[in-house]
Amino acid sequence: MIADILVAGLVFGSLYGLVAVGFNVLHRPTNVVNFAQGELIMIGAMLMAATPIGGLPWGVAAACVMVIVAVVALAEERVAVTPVLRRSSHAVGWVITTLAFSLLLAEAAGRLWTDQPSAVAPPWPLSMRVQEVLGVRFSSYQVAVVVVAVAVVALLGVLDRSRLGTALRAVAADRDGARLRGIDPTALTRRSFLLGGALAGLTGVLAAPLLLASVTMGLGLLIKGFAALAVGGIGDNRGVLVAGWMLGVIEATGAVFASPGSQSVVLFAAMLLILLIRPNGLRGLAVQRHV
Amino acid sequence: MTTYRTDGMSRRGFLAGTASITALGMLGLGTAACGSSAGAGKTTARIGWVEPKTGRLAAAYKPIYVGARLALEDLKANGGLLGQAVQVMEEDDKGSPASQPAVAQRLIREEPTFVVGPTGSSQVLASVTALARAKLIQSAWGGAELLGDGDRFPYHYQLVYNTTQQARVAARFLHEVRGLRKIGIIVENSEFGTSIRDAVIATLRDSYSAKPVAVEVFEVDASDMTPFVRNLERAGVDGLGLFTGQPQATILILRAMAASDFHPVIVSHDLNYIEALGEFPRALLDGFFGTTYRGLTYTGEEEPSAEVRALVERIDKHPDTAGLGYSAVTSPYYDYMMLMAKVIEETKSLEPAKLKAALDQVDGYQGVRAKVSFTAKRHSGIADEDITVGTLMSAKEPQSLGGVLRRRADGM
Repeated sequence: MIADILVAGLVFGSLYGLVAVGFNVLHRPTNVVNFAQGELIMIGAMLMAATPIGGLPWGVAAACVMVIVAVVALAEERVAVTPVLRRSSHAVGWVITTLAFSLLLAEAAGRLWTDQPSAVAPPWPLSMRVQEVLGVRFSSYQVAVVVVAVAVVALLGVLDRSRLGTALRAVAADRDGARLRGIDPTALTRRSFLLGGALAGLTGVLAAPLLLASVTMGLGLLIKGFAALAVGGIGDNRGVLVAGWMLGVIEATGAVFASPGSQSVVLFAAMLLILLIRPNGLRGLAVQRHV
Repeated sequence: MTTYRTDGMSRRGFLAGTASITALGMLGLGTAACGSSAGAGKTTARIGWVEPKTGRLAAAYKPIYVGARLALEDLKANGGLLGQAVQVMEEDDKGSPASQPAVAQRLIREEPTFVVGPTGSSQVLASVTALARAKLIQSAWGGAELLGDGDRFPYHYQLVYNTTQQARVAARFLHEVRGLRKIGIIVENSEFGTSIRDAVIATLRDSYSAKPVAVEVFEVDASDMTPFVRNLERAGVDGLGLFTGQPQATILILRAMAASDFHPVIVSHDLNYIEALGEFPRALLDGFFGTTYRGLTYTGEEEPSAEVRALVERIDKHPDTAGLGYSAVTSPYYDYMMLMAKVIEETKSLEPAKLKAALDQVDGYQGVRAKVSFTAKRHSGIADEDITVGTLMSAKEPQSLGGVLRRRADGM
């Protein structure tokens, strides 16, 4: 039973972690939390299930989906984020504009697809077939999802240490100050949205075989991803992945041990407790501003 | 107090009607009207039509209104109502309970003769509450038992079986027909889920002096159903009531069952066959049953009526069906509209009070799916004997007429 909880926690927690990492990628140069992230992921999963993309070899289909979702995210940046930030880098109008963009995506999906879920097969040679090793039951695809999540966080860590990462940190710390040092925050914002969109597409691609592709899948992932972001700490990719795993394990534990219907209460009570103890995130990487 | 005109229209009504029709026409929302418009100044039956036109559920709910659209075609072919054209006023509720008060306000202004929709338990509860004071005759697709309470909602008529009736049939099938004694329940954490869970538990207790060996309640956005399914498996469940409005949840539950070779007999309320089911072992799907209308089922000896077969053929051909013929044929709206047409023609009136009085005396009206009867107190119109259990996999049989009808389960 414990092994079942851990497997479910790690696998679905990896998805929540990836959603939270997507939040981080977009947040860094903009200080914007993209509330359309869940719907971008949904679009990625639905595209993966849709023909003709779904009929392509898996790698090609996944790449197409990532490109398409990245372009959609760029469109979001153009119409819903940059106009707000242009007025003031400290404005919070993006809360409404990104939510509005999210509604637009949901609306478009509602016109294109019904609420019937679509199965998406994992790429060869991976499979959803459950194997038992030393009493632990898991599928090869579940292992792959955890590995990909860790790899994404590792790659973003490398990016973080590059010149681009330094520029992103500068913009995050002070958008106007960075501009004075010759950094173009608008261009960085655009690149971040492209990257964040591609990441959302990848998350949708990874989630589709596990959760099934469905127009209703976005909101749940958005909420749990946001919870992972809050617990892991904004800007800390490793922290949010670990937080995602923790939330996944708490969720699975609640399903097994909590009284029927109280799983959400258990999940959010645990989250609240963690935030009370570690208000700056699991690893406590508080953002300090020197003035 | 709302008054209903049978002898013409006010200027405000004319302007509102014209503006609505113009707006709908410009937006391409497809106002389904036949014959002359309200502006003709004649006695016309006006149908309020609540359907999600936008939002996440827009495409999903289209098949549910196919029957109503076919009924409109039939009314048009028969010369309208009381020899006059029928006007339809479509309202977009976005599939959301929160939209219902605003939609109700517009309907109250438009003063329709009767209202079709909305669909979905939460939407319906919000809608009937908002419309009750306006005394608008309405039938919506919601399964809550209280929606058939004539004292509480005197103008709402329920032409679908309610959750209690559904629970009784499901419990009878598992306990009495299949002789299973380790019955489990898995439901979503929603008003629908909890009410049907309570009804199944009450039926097992009152009718069979039994109780479920396991009850699982999952959140509607649960990512993984494995823990819930493992709990059912550990309890030794051999018969399972599975009730959720989320097709995705059903698939994830079946997937968790397939992963552990756990194949209990399942009774659900949704017999739509979707392609995602193709991944599961046949043994699991052969044990999947669902509550449905007796009139929409067949056996080795018994075939559905000619009327049912004719309607299924028309549903199949309709572009809005989109492969969800089962949802389309089980929808209450075809029967409701044809019943309203009959009542209007018999009373020769569009006045709600007269129509309500006539509806309260409907006894054994033969709808396509089932017989319908009402009293002033009982507005839940489907008789228990018209509810049965069908098999999921019969969707693949030729007798299902393209996957729309279902084979009745043995013993039902």
